[in-house]
Amino acid sequence: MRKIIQIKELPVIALCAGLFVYFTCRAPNFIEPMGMLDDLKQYASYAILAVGLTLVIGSGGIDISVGSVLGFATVVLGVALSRTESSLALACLMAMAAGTAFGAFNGLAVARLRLQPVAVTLSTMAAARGLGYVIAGQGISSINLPERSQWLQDAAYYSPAPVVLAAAIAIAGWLALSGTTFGRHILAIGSNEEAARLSGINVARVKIAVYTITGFLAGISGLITAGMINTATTEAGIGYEFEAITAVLIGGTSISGGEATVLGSVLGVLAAALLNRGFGLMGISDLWRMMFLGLILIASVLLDRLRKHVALRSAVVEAVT
Amino acid sequence: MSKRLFITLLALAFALSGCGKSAEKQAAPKSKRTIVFVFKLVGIPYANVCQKGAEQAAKELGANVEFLGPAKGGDVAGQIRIIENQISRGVDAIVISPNDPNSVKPVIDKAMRRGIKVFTWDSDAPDTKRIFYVAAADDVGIGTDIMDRLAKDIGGKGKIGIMSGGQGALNLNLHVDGVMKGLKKYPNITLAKPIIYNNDQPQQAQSGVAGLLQANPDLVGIACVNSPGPPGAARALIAAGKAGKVKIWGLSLPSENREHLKSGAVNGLILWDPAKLTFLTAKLVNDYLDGTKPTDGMEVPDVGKLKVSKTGIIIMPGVVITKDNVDQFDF
Repeated sequence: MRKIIQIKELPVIALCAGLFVYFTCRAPNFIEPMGMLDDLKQYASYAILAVGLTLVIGSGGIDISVGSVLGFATVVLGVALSRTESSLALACLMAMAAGTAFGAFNGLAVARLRLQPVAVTLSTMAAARGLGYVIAGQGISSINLPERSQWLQDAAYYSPAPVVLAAAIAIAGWLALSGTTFGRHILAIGSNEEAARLSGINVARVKIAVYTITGFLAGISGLITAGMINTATTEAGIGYEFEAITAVLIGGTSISGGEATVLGSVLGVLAAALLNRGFGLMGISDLWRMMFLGLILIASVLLDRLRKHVALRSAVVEAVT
Repeated sequence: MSKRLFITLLALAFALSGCGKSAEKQAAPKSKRTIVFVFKLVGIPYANVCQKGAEQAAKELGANVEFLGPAKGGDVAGQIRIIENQISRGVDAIVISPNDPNSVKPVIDKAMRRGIKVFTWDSDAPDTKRIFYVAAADDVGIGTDIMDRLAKDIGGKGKIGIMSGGQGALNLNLHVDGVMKGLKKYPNITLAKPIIYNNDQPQQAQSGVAGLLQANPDLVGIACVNSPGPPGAARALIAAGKAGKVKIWGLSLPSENREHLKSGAVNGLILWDPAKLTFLTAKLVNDYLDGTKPTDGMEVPDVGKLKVSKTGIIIMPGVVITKDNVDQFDF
């Protein structure tokens, strides 16, 4: 029993199963494969962001700039394609570089200047969005993607590539977190930064790495988003941080760091995608979807607290007896 | 552990076995036609009024008319997400007011390919396969109209500002073009740059105008082209003690501006009834699905005479609202 409670992903697995069963019964066409795939694709960007955020939150930090950085990368792509002669590949590289640069900035500010992650990424959130508006130009919010970017649009909108890419990134994230020294260091820092430092872990380097990776992943999500919405817009990714962070926390990663699961985060995104599809098919307003997500989030945070409490108590009981 | 797993699986199996019946029940009333409106966002007053029109249409047409949209403003991808849901659901018609005209192009193609009829209303996506667009007045003309009335109230001279909503919304950009076009007629009126974008958020409308007033103490008027604009601008003017001194004309709802119109903080509104617009659209879409296409000059009871262009743009006549007639409008 105690062991089962300790499975971090258990609540999110139950949630996904519950949503799946409920919507299969209630929502028309819920398990139609083509539609299911189309709806999962809408959540590929979130899944990629969630992988990065799992590392950041696992290390005891937070990154609320991901949505804005995604938007900025999208604008960089649009500007590079529409106002320079750069090839699609070069423009994509520039967009990813832009995301990575913001991520590296977050990492440096958090690790070297020892600033609060929420304050740093709140500033980047505003700065990236603002810079996006600036480089797009006054009054321009939507940049038409030219002919030579057709490949990106075809790949993102007409093929399952976003889901495949998200799965590959999730597997890489899972391996990195659970199978490498880097991953162990992330969790060590998340559970006790001072102890990690004393045990010889280069805390600053690990932190810079997780934020930079997250920025890079936000850049990639920006490309997918631009391809899927057929345009480069300054408004891309608005509010994505909420849903991506929600997915991570629903998935069983602890908001206070030290415990993280990439699998859980991906399942958290899946739960959000199932909820979206189910409500969408039933014609239920998006406002209810947001409210429901909020409720699930608070329940997950409570559950995380409860789980830790139980774990602590049983550890104490074991130590005493 | 294995016992638990077994129980879970058993529960799942039970749940799924009960499933068949209700899914059949769901499929039965499929004969009723479903028309889904997908707005830029839901939860704002303008969207709520549109929704009333959709509800009225549902009653009168005997169809299932729904009103959806993303919960956040400017959420381009969120709108696509909802349209994808509706395609998968297999509705009869989808009517969109796009956040961004380019963004809906692939998804409109997909819907039309699957036999779902797609239309636009409120804001257009002209380079797509949408069947027709029902416009609330002429998008450019309404901007020019706002400018003309503002110019009259400020005596044809002085510095004015322009406030819009999302930078990507085609209808709003056309309204702004209309204001600019009107502005050319008045050589003594200058424009305070930049244009303010409130992203359809009341707070941003207020703070935007507060900033504009600080940067331009000599401002005499503001032309607003989206619904949170005039009340937001009025609140900023009241806070700055400039209500009535700076004139406001714009596009907005009477209910959001009733007090401001009466106190003189807002001079007037140019508008259509969004509920009527949505109702009319639902009716035209329903007729189209029945095989009747709209024709130029056709008279619709309660709405007036429609203009129908060859490019599939249908224009509904608009109204002017001031303090004298604001109480006649209940939306």
